[in-house]
Formats: sequence, C-alpha cells, structure tokens
Amino acid sequence: MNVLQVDKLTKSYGDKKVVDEISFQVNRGEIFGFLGPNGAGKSTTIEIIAGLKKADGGKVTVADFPSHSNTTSSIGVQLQSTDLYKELTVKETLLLFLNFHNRSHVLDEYIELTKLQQVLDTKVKHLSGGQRQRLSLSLALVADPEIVILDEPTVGLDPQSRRTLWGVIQSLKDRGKTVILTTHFMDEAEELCDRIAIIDHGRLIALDTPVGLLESIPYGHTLTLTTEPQITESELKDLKYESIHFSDSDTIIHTAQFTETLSGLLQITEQNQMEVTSLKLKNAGLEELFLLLTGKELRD
Amino acid sequence: MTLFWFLAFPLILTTLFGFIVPNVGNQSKLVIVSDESYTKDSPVIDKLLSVPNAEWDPGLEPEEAVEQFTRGYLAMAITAEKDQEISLHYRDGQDRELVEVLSNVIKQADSSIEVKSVPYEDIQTIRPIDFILPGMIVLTIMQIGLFGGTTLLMDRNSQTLRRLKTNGVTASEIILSHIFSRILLVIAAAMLLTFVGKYILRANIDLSNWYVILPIAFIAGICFLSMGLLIASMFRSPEAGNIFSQSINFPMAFICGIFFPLSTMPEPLQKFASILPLTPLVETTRNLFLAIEISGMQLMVTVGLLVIWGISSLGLGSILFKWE
Repeated sequence: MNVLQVDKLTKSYGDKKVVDEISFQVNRGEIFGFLGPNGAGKSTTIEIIAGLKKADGGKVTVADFPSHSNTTSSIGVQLQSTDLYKELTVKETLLLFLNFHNRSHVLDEYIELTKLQQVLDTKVKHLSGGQRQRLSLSLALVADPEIVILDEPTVGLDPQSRRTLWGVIQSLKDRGKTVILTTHFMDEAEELCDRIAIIDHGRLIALDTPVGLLESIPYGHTLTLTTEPQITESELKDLKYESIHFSDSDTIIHTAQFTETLSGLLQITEQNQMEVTSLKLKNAGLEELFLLLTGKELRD
Repeated sequence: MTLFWFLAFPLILTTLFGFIVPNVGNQSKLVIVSDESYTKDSPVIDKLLSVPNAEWDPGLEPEEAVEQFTRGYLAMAITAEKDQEISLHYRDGQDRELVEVLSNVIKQADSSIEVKSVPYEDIQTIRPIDFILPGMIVLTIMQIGLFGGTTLLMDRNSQTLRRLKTNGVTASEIILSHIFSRILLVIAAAMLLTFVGKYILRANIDLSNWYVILPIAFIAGICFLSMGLLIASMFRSPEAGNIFSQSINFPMAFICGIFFPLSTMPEPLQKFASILPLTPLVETTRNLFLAIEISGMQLMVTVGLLVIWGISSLGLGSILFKWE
C-alpha cells in the first residue's frame, strides 16, 4: 500500500534543472533508497517531500494527508548536516524536541531505540560523529512519524558507527516505519533497502529491488586481468564474454559465465606464454549497474 | 562570552568612564527660565545668554529648574518669575563670584531689575558615575538587541532553523521565542548593572521610579531586538551582521548622549539624533534614575519612538529574513 506518491516532480535553480520530472511511490513499511552521486538531486527531492522546499512542478501526496502543506507529524526528517544546540546535553535536546510534539513521556523509548543511554548527560559538543548522527536520527523520530527521511545518514562515520546506525535504521523498519534513505554508498543501499531508485542529473534512471536491479545487469561478474605483455583483443577472439575494455595495463572483462571465461582466459595466457601478474574477480553490483546506465562511475 | 560582552564589559566601561571623565552631565549649565514675564528676546535674557554655559530653556518651569538645580543636575538656576525681579539659585560657598558677575550683567542690561541671590547648602553633586550609569544600562539593552540577530543568522547557517521547521516550529514562533529569551537577558542585565552601579560603584541613583523604568526597559529591549532582526535579514553571515551592528552601535552611543550631554553636540547632529530611538531613551532613563521630573510628553515621545522603530523593524525583518 502506498504511503507516498510523487508525480512528475521538477525543480530548477536558475537554468539548472536539479529535479527533472521524477515520479515514484513508496510502500508502507519499506526502506526506500535513493542512490546517486553527489549533486544528482537526491537531497532536493527529499527536501521537497519534507516540505522544506517548494517544487516548480509536480505533486507529492502523503497518505492520509490530502494537502502536502502540513505533514510535519507524518514525516520525520534527518537532514544531511545540521548543528544542534552545542551546550545542551543529549537528554535536554531530546526533551526540547519531544516537547514540540507534547511527547516528552516517551523519552526512554527513543533513548533505547537510538542507543544513547551512555551519553544522556553529555553535552552535544562532546559527542562523536556517530553519536551525533544517532541523536540527529532520534530527533527525526520525536513526532512518531509514519515516514522517516534520512539524508545521507552515514556520511563521515567510521565503519563501526555506520554498522550501528544501520542496525537502528533496520529496527525502524521492524517497528513498521517507512524509511526513505538517500545514500551514495552502494553497500548501504544493498544492505538496507527493499527498493532502490537510482538518480542522476535529476532524473530517475532505474527503480527496483536490489535483486531486480542486479539481475538487470547483463553480466554477473567482472574479471580484471594484468598480464606481461598485455593481452590484445585479437588474442581473445574465441573467449566467451559480454563486454571488454582495456585500461593502462589491465584488461577488464564482464561475463555471465565466469568459470568458462576464466578457464579460457588462462589457456590463452599459457598458449601465448604470458605472465599473469594480477587477477581479480568481482561480483557485478550497483556500481556496475550505474556505470552501465550512465557511462560513469558512481563515485564521480 | 555573551555574559562578558553584555554584563562584564558595560560594568568595566562604566567604572572606567566614572574615573576618567571629570565633569559630565549638565553640572556646568546655567539654565535661564521664566514664566511669561520674559522671552528669549528680552534685553536682559539676551545679555545673560552671553555668559558662558548659560542656556535659555523655554520648556522648563521655574520650579522645575530649581528642583533640577537642587538635585545637582544644574550649576545654577536663573529664574525670572515676575517683572523686575530675577533670582539666582546657587551653591553656597562655591559660586559667589559667578553670582556677582551675573548680577552685574543683569544690572548693565536693566538697572531697575532687582536681583535676588538665593544660596543653597548641601546640594548634591552628580558624579560622572551617576551620569554614565543610566546611559550604560541603555547601551547594554541596545547591544543585546542589535547583536541578538546574529544568533538567528548562526542558527540559520547551521541549519538549526531548518531542523526546528521540520519539527513543526513556525517562523513566528522562532522570532517570538528569540525575542522573549533575550528580553529576559535584557531585564537581567539592566537589573544587575543597576544594582552593581548603586551598591558597589556607589552611584547616586534613585530607584523609586522602578515601575516606570522597568516597562521602558522592556519596550526598549523589544525595539532593539526587532532592529537586530532587521539587521539579520540584510546579511548572509553572522560576521557581516556583527560588523554592521558594531558600525551603528558605537556612533549611536556617542551621538545619542550616553557618554556626553547631547547639548555639547553640533545642532545638525542633535536634530539627527533626536529621531533615533536611543536619544529620548537615554534622556528619559537618566532623568528617571536621577529623579529629575519628566513630563508626560517626554515619556510619550520616548515610548512612541521606541514603538515606531520596533514595529517597523519587526515587520520588515520578519518579511525580509531568509530562513534558508
């Protein structure tokens, strides 16, 4: 069942179109991922959904709220980077924001959910990056919203803090919340999201489950081979593969049947008396899908 | 840091000025007043005005001038209450030579006029600290207001305002809470400066008018906080807002009579200063603290100017302030 419907959303800054007729819907209780490089239009899209920016065109419909103008109790937002009141403690900050919604009685629930028990009396200015993000997340939840929007929640965090935050996000889903998550980390999107929308230059270029997206890649694996001397395309004419390209010293082969391709490749190097100095095998992932769809790497 | 600038700094400045400024206030002023017997053009008044520091004050009644003199606010009160009689109210034992000079001046202008010398004993003297302290309290109120807008700019730039908005806090609620929280600081700072000034620095100020001073401080606080909001609406960064606030803060302090009497300023500057909210505020507050009687009109002008400046600034600031 849809909890959010976005139709042909557009937004421009001057001549630059940052959101270009984006349409999608989010189902109740799912984690919906927005994946794309910096500047793709992810943040603008969710800021429009959250009511922080006005769209130039298109429509956002939140379930049970025919008018999108007053949805603060239905949508909780964790902004990409915000300072909090540095001199307040974690507990004081939580109470302040809970009081905006007359919900100070549920303080303990939020402390437990975001694992902030150990730092309740710590001033915000003394929190680590991960603790600050968890506090920031808990502030997005104080109104007990049905939809929680998280804008790049793990940027700048160490691996352990990222994992902790992933656990918190997963527990939100377990509690029946709908989560909209923007990220440019593919592992994060694959790990957390039920469905992923890939966005680039303000346009939605793919939308499916992680499995569905990966299955849409015409090859399953990528082999990166370095030989001395470098192998040529003519030497690979009998090899089975989907696509191939050559970099400085590497030969990159995309294949759907990597066992067959790998054995053929080793035979060719042996026949041609080439020395294999490096051989890497990688499962095709969202990075490769993005490369296929846009012709550039996601980290660009 | 905030506490230093808004509480400790004014106290330090007050103390310093109290010691380094030797003669402030209107203690050198010889005010000439009259009922309807004389005008400024009368030959004797014209002659008296040639005496240094002599000043004709048509807005002051003779009794009021004498009262100001007895409270130590004037060097001498020269009252001409009926034809052919002028009284010189002076400090006994201090200004006898001046009285003789003035008597001669009057006799030269009109020998038929009877000059009455009225000596007073134990006239209080307004020390520099008495003069400076009310001005410093007003200056502190202005500073808290003008620089208060910087906090909004900082909260906007750190996206704290955005976070508040995502939690359903409206723009008007943010502005009202900003003003309310700083009004508390204004009142606290004004009270602290008053008590430190009176009981530690031993300023000779009268607190019996507290019920008038407090509402005026409240209205002044709202006025200057609104001006701070207007300043914040004009700039992108807190630093730029601070520089602008500073650039109007000090000139206003100097031309509006906080450190020096307004009468010592050039006339065009006096006219300009009279439309600024600080000028009547300083004068009214000082009169209230020094127990000098003020007219209802003066009070209305003071409050009126504060209200006009406050409402205009609040309205414009609320419209122009960019929340993103």
